[in-house]
Amino acid sequence: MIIGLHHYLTLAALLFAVGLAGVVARRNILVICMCLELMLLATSLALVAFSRFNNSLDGAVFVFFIIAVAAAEVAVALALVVALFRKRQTVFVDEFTILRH
Amino acid sequence: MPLHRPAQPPARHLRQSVLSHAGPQGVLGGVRVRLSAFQARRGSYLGTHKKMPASLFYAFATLTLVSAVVVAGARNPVGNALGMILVLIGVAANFFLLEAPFLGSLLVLVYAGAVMVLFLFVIMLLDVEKLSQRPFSLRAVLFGAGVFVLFSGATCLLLWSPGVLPSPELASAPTFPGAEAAGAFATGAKAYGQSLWGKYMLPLQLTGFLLLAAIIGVVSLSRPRARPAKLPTQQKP
Repeated sequence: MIIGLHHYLTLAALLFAVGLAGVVARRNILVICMCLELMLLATSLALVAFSRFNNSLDGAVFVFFIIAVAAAEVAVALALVVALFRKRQTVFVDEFTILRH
Repeated sequence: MPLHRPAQPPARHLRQSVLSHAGPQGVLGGVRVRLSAFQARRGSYLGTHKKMPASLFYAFATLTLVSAVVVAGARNPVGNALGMILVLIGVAANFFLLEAPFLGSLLVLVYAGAVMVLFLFVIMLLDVEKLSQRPFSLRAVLFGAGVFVLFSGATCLLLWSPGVLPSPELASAPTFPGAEAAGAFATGAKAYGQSLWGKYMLPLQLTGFLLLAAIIGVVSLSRPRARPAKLPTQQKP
């Protein structure tokens, strides 16, 4: 059986769904960050598959920018996690209730 | 095995074999003839690609999905990070199968080499016992499973319903002047360079500014809160 665009898109959709489920179900903020990375990876996979099957390099170049932006995002997110942990001694998002009234 | 692809493959032989595979009638339709000429120009590249990676795709897709479930489900954050590294390896292998070797190696270098090391640093920096103390609640597990089933079911239904998505023939790898003379890896990197420094010059520079802003933000976030410094009392003249 020839692997086509559908297979790669299905894999990307499943990967995105796993990441989405992790984001909505978990409470640990580090795990939430990792699941966000999973969703970014799924979109990258879909973009590379589209660009491969359409004979164009544009989607693959977008993936380059996605990787750069994700690296910056992870750095800022982890700095925020460390700052929050220093202040509140926890990483569970349902215990961050500073803005609740 | 020669390093370089042959610049001039035996065109007539390949075209004949393609035509004989396609059957006696209908082979002179425009698309098919153009495709066969294309294949003849690119050598036997497409043929090998179409046969090889079915089992490889399934193997790496299984690896990716299983370790993605580990990422979303493991209770120990170190296990999450290790599952994430396996996911990255699987996705990078899929990039290689999609003939984007530059992106695959970039993914391993940047993500598995830098981002995941950052995650592990933070996990070790914080208290692991405080990170993984709580058991799952049934409600959260059911909620996550419901979201997974809904999203993936809807997407796959949309994907596999006939006529929604055109299923194109596997096109040839992106070409650029001099692609035949270089090796396979140089194809990806060189075409990338031409794209990045030509068509996507402005987004590239904006990405550089974004990285600079991220560096400044991280430094100012992770500095300990400075005490208000005593201003030197100004003397009025």
